Amino acid sequence: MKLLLIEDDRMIGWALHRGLTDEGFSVDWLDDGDASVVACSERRYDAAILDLGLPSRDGTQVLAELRRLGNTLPIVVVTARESIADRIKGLNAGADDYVCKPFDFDELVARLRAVLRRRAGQPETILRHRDVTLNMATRQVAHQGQLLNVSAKEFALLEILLQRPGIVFTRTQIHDKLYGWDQEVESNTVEVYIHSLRRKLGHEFIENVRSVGYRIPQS
Amino acid sequence: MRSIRFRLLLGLLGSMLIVQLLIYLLIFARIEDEIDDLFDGELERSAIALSTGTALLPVLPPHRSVENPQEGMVISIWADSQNRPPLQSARLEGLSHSTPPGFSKIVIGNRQWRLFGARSGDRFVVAAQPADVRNIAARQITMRILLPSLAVVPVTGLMILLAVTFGLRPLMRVTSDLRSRSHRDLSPIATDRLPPDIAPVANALNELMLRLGNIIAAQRNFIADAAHELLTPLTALRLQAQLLARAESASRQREALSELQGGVSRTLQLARQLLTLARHGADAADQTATAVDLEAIVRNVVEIHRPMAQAKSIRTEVVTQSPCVIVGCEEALNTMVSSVIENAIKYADIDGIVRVRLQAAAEGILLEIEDSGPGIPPNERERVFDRFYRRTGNTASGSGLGLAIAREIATRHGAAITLQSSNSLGGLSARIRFDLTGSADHLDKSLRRVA
Repeated sequence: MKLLLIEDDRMIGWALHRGLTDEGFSVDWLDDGDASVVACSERRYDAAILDLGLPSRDGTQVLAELRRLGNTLPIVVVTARESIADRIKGLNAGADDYVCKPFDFDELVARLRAVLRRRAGQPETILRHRDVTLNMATRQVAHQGQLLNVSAKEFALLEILLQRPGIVFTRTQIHDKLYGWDQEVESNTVEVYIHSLRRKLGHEFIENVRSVGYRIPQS
Repeated sequence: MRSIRFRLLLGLLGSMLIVQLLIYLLIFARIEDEIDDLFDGELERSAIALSTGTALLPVLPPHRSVENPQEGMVISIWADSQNRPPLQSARLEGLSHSTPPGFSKIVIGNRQWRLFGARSGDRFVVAAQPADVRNIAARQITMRILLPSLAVVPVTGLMILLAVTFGLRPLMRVTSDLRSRSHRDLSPIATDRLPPDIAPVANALNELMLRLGNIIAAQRNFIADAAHELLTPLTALRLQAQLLARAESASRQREALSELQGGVSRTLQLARQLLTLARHGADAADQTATAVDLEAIVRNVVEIHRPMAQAKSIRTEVVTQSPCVIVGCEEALNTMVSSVIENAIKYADIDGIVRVRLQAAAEGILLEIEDSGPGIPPNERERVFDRFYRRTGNTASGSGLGLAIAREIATRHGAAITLQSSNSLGGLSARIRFDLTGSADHLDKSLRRVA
């Protein structure tokens, strides 16, 4: 899952970037409203976290601008403005959800995941395919009823594939969703995670579509 | 302090009584004159009537004593010769045949008598009357007029009271208007229906309430802003603490801990600056102003910040003039100079220069602080004085309050603080100009000058 974090405060930005990365998201961090409009338009992201109190440009303007351009990127807004009128204004401007400072990190992540699920048309927190279940809320994967030990990146990769069974994801798409700009990654890392997941879930669970990418075959 | 109503009642009733007393004294004097005329006339007519007529003479019984002066007149008649004792209507010793004709006075015993002598041929008649009878009569008449009018006094008092109450009604209206207000209501008192006597008081009150309202609004805004500004560092703290709690490796823990410590320092810095603002800002409580040596303050502040400058290998140059004495609050001026010098050191580049100059002239004092940092673009040079204003891409930690505090202190001291680019160092130049031409009038009212 690839996230765009738009936050001007260095400390909050750093903590969110680090925390979300640990949660298995790949995070790109911008501190400027103008640049974020451009970045969102690239449609490389699954969701964005937007701080409304940006110095150069008001966050609600960024939001309104994006929606005006027809951008449907799920956006969770972070703000210090906690009055009900402000919340309504933010939601009407096109925010998918809203957290008020000082927010709890876990709450932000839960809301973010809820927004992502809704967008994927999947209100449930559990994805099931054959004998594998993936719980997005508890970050757990079970195979034949047994809990598996998976890393954050493995989980993120499985989540991407399980959300849309039958669809082929290219290596570049997966790579993009797993990593942010600043992360130096070796080119065969995706293969390494695929290999590791196949070892845990069975080789035929993830299908290799020659010279295109990977998918979970529909049963 | 007695009530206005009581003062008016006392004053009006008192002066009315004094005036009435004066009137009675005048009336009494007049009545005395009239009664003198009346009684004299009676004496004269009786004496003349008895000196010419003959019929009554035998009727008069001899030697009847006069005990009661109220009985009035004593008639003495010398019929033909001087030697024979006179015929008297009442016995009265001490009258003589040689009494001069016409009006005269005589003292018999210890009483004064008024006499009228009339001579006709051989017959001599003297009509005598005690003088005090007249006084008593005059006093009785005066009292008879005075007493009924005294009974009117309570009625008059009551009417004065009603009139005063009626007159004070606009004041009562203002009082009850003010009393029925909530403490939040600072709307002006309606003065269009007030008499010109109270209107100035109401107007002065309205002005005070307006000023008070502005201050309360400013403080309310400040509290809201401050709470809002506290949310950001607190959010960072919360996230940093959560990150520390879930850090698994030792290196991650160290990293998260160092971030958390940074977050704590930043929150403390903000809290400290909020306190400074509460103490020295435009809405702060009154302070006492004394003669302060600005030169000493500048030297001291530079000295205190030397380690901070040395940490960035910044050279500090200080040129001052001594003495440089102004009237103001020493602690506040110290804070102002500190926050400007701190800014200069914070934004000057490594191995840069911070130059502090203090010049005194007859018309004013100029404190200039220059740095070799990146400066501030002209369109932002005023906005950086706004409370909580933070510049885009500002990496140095700051609460956005330092310059706001400096300007508020400068304003209270009648000084102007401006930013421009430094010609010699290429960075920012902050100038604080104290105007000394207008004596001490420049000081804000909130700075109380002590001799």
